Amino acid sequence: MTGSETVRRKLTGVSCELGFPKMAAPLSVEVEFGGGAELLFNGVKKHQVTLPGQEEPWDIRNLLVWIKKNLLKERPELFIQGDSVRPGILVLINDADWELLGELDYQLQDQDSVLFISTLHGG
Amino acid sequence: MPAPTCASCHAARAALRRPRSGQALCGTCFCAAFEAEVLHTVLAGRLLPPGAVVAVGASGGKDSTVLAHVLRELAPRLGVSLRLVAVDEGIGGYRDAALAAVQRQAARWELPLTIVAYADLFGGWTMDAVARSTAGSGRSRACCTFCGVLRRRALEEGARLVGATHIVTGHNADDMAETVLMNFLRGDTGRLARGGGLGSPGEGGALPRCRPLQFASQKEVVLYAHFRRLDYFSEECVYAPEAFRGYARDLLK
Repeated sequence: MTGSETVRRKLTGVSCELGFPKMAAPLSVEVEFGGGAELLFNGVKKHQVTLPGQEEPWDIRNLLVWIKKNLLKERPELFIQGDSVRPGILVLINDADWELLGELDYQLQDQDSVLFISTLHGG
Repeated sequence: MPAPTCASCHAARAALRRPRSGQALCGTCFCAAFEAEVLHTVLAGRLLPPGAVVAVGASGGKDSTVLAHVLRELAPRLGVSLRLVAVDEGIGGYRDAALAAVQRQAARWELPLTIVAYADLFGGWTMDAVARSTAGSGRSRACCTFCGVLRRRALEEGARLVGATHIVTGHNADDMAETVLMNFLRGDTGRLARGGGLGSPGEGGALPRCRPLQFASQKEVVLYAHFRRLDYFSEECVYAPEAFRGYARDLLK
């Protein structure tokens, strides 16, 4: 071991002790359900939610996991399929189709509004 | 990824991408395009001539709500007048709430509304009664099979009552695709041969009927209703889980 390697290792050790993990700040978002989807959420259409600060940034993928855990009252298979929404459920982020914004990969910003509209009923 | 700019007005942020053309449009330009396409469907197919009295099959649901709203906007240009006709199949806990929605719509749009009930037309047979009688009968036929036939007849009666010359229903492109698939699955060559047109000219004394929304995808119908803030009834019929159409719908989705 050379002298410089010892120094490097020591410096790395110091930076680990003093370093803080990067945290995404808590986010305030409005989650809304329509077209009948609200029936799975106690009939409540609008939900103002605060997503806790965490290491990974919040995207739609982990928002869905959060919704399933914290908001969904019954029959998750009618809302979620795999890691996405069930086919027939439209997703609008700030009134724009999520297709234009990266779908599950869209990274949520503070004050965003996400609307889930079910199309799975007669017309 | 920020949303692209509207390809039509080049000013507002795009709200959706149209399924067929892939064109990104804002809410306002999309609604205008949607209405223009319905107008084109009606004019190109000569579906509703000037002077027509049009009975709109109104269920309170998303498709008939959008249909009635768009036709009401286009009525002056087409030179037609509209009458709402709603059918009461007698399905407790479902149809009553839907009819309440139609009544609100009729008041808001200031359109005359006529409600025809199965119980009156078909000697007291409500869908609930049909369902009770077909349940456990050993036949694999859901009550929906009967409802479709009876409802079309009821719509015809309602249209005649209001002096209509034409009937329109809100079937969209997804419904049309499901029907084709259902007919394939059942090997119904008769229906496959008869379908695919723009509507029916009216055989055997029946009124001509057509589907102005038949080229609009279901997703676009829902988005139109959203951007126009239209209020509609969105619960599933209590008997729907039994319907054969469900298989076709799952395959298409």
